[in-house]
Amino acid sequence: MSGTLNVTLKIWRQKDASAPGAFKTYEARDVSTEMSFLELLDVVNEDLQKKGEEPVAFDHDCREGICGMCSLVINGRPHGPDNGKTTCQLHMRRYKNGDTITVEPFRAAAFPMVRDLVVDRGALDAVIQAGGYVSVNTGSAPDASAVLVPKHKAEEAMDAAACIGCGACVAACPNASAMLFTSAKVSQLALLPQGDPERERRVLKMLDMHDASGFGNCTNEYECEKVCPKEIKVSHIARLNREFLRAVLCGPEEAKASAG
Amino acid sequence: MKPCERIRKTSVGKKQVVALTGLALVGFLATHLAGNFLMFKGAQAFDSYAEFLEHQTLLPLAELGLLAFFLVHIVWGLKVFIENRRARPQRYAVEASTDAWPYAARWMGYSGVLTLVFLVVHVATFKFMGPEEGPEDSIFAWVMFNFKNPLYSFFYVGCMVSLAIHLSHGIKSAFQTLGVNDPRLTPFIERAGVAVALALTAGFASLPIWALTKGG
Ligand code: FES
Repeated sequence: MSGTLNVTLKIWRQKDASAPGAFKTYEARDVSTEMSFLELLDVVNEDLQKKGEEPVAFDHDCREGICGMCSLVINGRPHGPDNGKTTCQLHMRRYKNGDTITVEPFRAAAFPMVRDLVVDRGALDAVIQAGGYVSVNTGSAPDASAVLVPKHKAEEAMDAAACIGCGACVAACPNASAMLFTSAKVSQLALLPQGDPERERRVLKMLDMHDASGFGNCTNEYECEKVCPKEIKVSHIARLNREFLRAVLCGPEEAKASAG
Repeated sequence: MKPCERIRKTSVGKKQVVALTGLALVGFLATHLAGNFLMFKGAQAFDSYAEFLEHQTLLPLAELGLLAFFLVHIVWGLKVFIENRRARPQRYAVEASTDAWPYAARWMGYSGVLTLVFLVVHVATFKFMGPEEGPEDSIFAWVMFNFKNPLYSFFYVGCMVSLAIHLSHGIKSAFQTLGVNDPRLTPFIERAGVAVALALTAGFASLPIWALTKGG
């Protein structure tokens, strides 16, 4: 079922963080329905370059839904209309002839504008660097049954580990909170024996960095869960909340001190 | 960092305090409402209950505690609300929520402030003013006197509707914030939260409506 369509794109253009931004309208003619959304932007950019105009800057890398580099808020929804999909996995067959599509960058105080549709999502890396790791020398791969992990925990940890760090949760959250992202890592490592020794320190340090980066407070609106391309559940946020309580109320003294 | 300082400084800690005080205040509302229902039994029952309360030696202490819960809930709730507005300085041109009715959660700050306005008026009318301002020397008569003023009653009912919206998100949200999330329990908590919110509101609003339509 291939065909072509004409769509109108309203794309946010902004030279840099200090310049004011605005929407610009582009007409895309004879767009193949087989094209991905990012390929459509490629075509638009080729036309712009031919006309001697600046192409639209946007983030992308793997284009197969695994790296978390692509972004975009498409018609008000991060990663476009489909559940469990990244922007690079969105195809033009999802649209009708004559549609107008509004494309905006992820907006959050913690994600400074770089250019057009590109924002700096480095704050997410900082949150991981603050504690989203296990500091033991793991050596070579252990025997499969040397470290026992119950199946339900392994599954939940795996679900949390699916996070690709794209930041759609932040983009969708009315408070621009990165709590789904942070909780995915806290939850994953809290569920596994390898993550256990540092769990109190981890949750405190990651939350400190989360708050210091300018992300908002989670108010349980669950918009994040609905747009997450990896369908990570807000039950991980509840686990993070428990981890925090546990760390504050019964964590070992030195973990609390070093996390300060 | 000491636990108190940690809770005060961390986003999750602040929310947990708001959640705990919020749940405690829901408990207070339930007992308050139970007392209000005595109005349906008539002036004597209600007045003697009011008198009984006033003669409790520990009443000032309870009132202070209640005030503290309200203050902490309001101040920290507003703090969270303001921080959240700062975290998203520029809004989207197209806002497409994935929820059919996302406003209960969006409006927590506004419905909270409206409830605060209500509290001020409410405490001013029923604590710092009293029957001496009204026609008869009876708390019951004083309440009826105010409720029979349509302006006061509409304000009262309006605020109760806003409270229902506040609690319909607040109760279930408090459980998630305190870390209670379970595939079997959570759907029940969500429905029970909305049911409690509606029941409290219907209960409180029933009195002015009763007073306006027939009572006393
Ligand atoms: S480009 Fe890698 S996930 Fe979309």
